[in-house]
Amino acid sequence: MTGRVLYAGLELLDHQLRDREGRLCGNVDDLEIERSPDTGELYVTAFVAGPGALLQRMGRRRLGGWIERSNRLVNDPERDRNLIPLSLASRLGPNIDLAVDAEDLATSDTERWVRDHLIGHLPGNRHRAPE
Amino acid sequence: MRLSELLDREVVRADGRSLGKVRDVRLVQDGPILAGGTQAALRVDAVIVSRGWRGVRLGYLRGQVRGPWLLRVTFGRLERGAHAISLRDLVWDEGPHLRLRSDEPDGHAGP
Repeated sequence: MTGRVLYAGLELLDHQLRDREGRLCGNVDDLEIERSPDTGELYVTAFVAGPGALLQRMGRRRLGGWIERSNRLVNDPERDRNLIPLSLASRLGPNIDLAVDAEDLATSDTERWVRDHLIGHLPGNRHRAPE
Repeated sequence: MRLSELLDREVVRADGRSLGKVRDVRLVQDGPILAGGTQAALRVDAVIVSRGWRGVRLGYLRGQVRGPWLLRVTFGRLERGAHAISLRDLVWDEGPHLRLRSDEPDGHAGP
């Protein structure tokens, strides 16, 4: 067998995702796999991150699916933002480094929504938290 | 489809006898470099099937963890029954099982 061998459950699932700045941006909750029309082999095409995906993996398929659909409806009905294409991964190790900003991932949706719709309307919201 | 649809799925022999459940999935990074990326594609190569405990996820299988000695030996014994079965030897249809094409899995899940 040539090529690096990885065990999905051991070395990918639940591992930390980091964005291009090294910021933590979720965990790998599942993997999307597709069959290649050319070879018939199955390939991992994307990481799946988000509470909906995690719930589905834990057996709560109905609730997880509902959360995923709701998230898609609110944020971007055109595409599944819970999917992070494998091509965005720059390193697969104890942490998985992504060549993308955390802001662009669905895992930041709740934080972004709270910031834009709640925190942003409070008096004094221009105060910047110390680094 | 998702990997979670494969995990914990029962694997049966051609005659219907159970071999255990899928505890992990072996991937091999031997595909072409992904368009726009730096990683080679990850091919789903085999499933790790075990009758028993889910301890295969602790990493004491496959010779990847060298110690501590006591844990390595203990978990190694628990995981001795685990097999890696190539996906090519399995039929994965819409049913609840993965079915072996013939009755000979390709061996233990060693390194």
